[in-house]
Amino acid sequence: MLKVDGLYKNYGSFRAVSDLSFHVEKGEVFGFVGSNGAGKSTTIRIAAGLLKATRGTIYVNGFDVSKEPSKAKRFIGYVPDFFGVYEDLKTTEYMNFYCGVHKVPVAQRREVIDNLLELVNLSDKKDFYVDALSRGMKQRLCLARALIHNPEILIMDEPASGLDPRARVEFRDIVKTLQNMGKTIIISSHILLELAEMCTTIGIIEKGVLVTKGTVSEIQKQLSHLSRLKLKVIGDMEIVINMLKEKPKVSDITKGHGYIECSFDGNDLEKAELLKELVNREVEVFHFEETAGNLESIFMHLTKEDEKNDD
Amino acid sequence: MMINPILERELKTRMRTWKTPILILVYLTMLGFVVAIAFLAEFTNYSYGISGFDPTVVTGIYIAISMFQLGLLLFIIPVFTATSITGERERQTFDLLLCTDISPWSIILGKMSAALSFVFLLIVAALPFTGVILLFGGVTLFDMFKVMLFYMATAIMISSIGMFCTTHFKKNISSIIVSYVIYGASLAIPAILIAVAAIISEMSYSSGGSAIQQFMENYAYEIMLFTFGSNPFYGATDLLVSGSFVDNIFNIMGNGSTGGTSILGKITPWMANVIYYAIISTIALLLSRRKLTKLK
Repeated sequence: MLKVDGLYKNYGSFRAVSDLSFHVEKGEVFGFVGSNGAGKSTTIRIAAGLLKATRGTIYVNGFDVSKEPSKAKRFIGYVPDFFGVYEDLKTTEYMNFYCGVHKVPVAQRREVIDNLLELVNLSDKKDFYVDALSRGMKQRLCLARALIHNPEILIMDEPASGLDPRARVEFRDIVKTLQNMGKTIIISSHILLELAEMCTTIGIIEKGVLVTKGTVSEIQKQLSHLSRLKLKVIGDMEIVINMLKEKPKVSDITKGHGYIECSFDGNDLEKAELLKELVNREVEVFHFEETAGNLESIFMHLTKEDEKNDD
Repeated sequence: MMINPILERELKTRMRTWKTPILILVYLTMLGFVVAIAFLAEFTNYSYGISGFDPTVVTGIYIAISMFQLGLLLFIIPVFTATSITGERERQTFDLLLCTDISPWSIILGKMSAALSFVFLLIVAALPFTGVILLFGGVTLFDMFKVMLFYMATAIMISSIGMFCTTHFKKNISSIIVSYVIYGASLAIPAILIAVAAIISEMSYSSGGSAIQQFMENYAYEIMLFTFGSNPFYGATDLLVSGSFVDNIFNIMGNGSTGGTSILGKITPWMANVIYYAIISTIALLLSRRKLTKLK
C-alpha cells in the first residue's frame, strides 16, 4: 500500500532521513515513532507530496510520489501536526470548501459532509464557526477534512499532541473505526505508549534511520532482557547515580522527585546482585522495583543505542 | 456549476466581514471628497461671477477624479494580492491545498480573481461619482467605459506582480513591501532613465550635437512609449486627455501617426501600457506557477 524505498532527505549539509525503507500493508495501523527531529515529519511530508526526496522515493499504491504526484495524492489523506483551519468559516463551509478542492460533485457534498461530521462526532457543531471549536474538535474536523476524497491511506503527523486525555480517547476511538473501515493508517508520534494502544505495527526512527519495525509484542520480545528499575534511597541521590553510572548494564538514568529510574540489561539474579552491592556500599535503599509498561524504556534504549553508535 | 472553490471561499469570507463595507466606504468617501472639493471650487467661481460656466472645466474635474482613483487603486491592489498565498502560509492552510490534486493554476487564478473581483467592485462602486460628470457633458459614457477597462487591465497587471511576490515570500509583510518596491521601481527607473537621457542629450547639444541627440529627437515618441509603458498614468492621461478609443484605432488603421516616426509610433500610450501589462502579467504568473509546483 505504501512503500518507502531507500529514502534520503538532506537540508543543506544536515541529513534528516538516511536510507529509510519500510512498507505498510493495506489495513495496517502503522505507528511511526521517534524523538523530535528524528525524521518522522520529513518522511510524512515527502509521502504527502509536500517535500522532494534527495534520493529514493515513496510509492503509494504503486505510484511514485515524485513522478506521479497527482495520482499518488488521490490515495492519501493528510493530517498535519497543525490544525490548518479557516477560522472564519463555519464547520460545514470548511468541509464544503475542501469538497470543492477535491472536486466532489455538488449534489453529493451534503451527504459526504454529514457522514464525515458524524464519524468524527461533530454533527452537532455543523453551524459553529471553526474558531469556536475546541482544540480536540478542530483536530477531529481536520481528520474529517482529510477523509473527504475517501482516501485509502490516512497519514497523521503527531495528531494527538496537545490534546487533553478525553480528546485523546475520542481520537483513538475514531482511529479504530477507520481501521474497521479498512483504511491504512500511518500515525507519527514521539510517545511510544500513545501509539502502542492503537497500532498494529510500529517503526522506530532515530536520526533519520529506522531502528526497528514490528508489532508491539515483537519489539517487546526483541528487548525482553531490558527492564526499567525504580529505586528510592535515603540520603544523597547523586552519589547513588554515580555508583549506577559505573555499572555497564545500567543505562538511561533519570532522577525523579525522590526516586531514581534506570534501564537495566540483565536477568533477575543480576538485578538482585545490583541491589546487594548498593546495600553493601551503605546505600539505604527502601524501594527497589521493576516498573511495568517498559515500552518507554525500549524506546529510550533503542534511541540511546543509536546515539552511542553515533558517538 | 462548480466555481473555483478558492474564489468561492474568498468571496464568502471577505463579504461577510465588516472590513469590506468599511473599506468601500473609506474609498468612496475619499473619492467623494475629491469630487465635492473640485465641484465646489468651480461652482463658487461661477456663482460669484469670476468666470462664466465653462464645460471644459468639468472635463478637468473628471480627469482629476480618474487620476485620483487610479492612484488609490495602485495603492490598494497589492494589499489584496500580495497577501493571498502568504496569508494561507501564515494560517498553515497552504500545505493542505498543495496535498490535494487542485492545480497550481486553480490556486493562482482563484486567489487572483478573488482579489480582482473586489478591486472591480471598487471601480464599479465609484461609477456614480464619475457619472455625475455626464450631467454636464464633455465626457461620454463610452469614454468612461474605456477608462474603466483600462483600470481593470492595470489591476490585472499589479495583481500579477502581487501573485509573484506572494508565491515567493513566506510573510505577508515581506510580500507587500516587495510588491510595492517592484512596482515603484518599474515607475521610477524609466523616469530616471529618461531624465539621464535628456541630460546626456542636452550636454551633447551644447557641444555641437551628436548621434545620441539626433536619435533622441527622431525617436522621442518611441522612447517615451518604451520608458513609460509601465506607468499607468501615461496610458490613463492618453485616454482621458488626448481623444477617444475610436480615434486611436482610426489613427492606426489610417495613415495617421500618433507622433512617432517608426512602426512603433503607431502605438498609442495606453496600448503601450496594455502590451507591457500583458508581458509582465504573463511572466509573473508563469513564475508564480513554477514556484507552486517546485518542491523543496
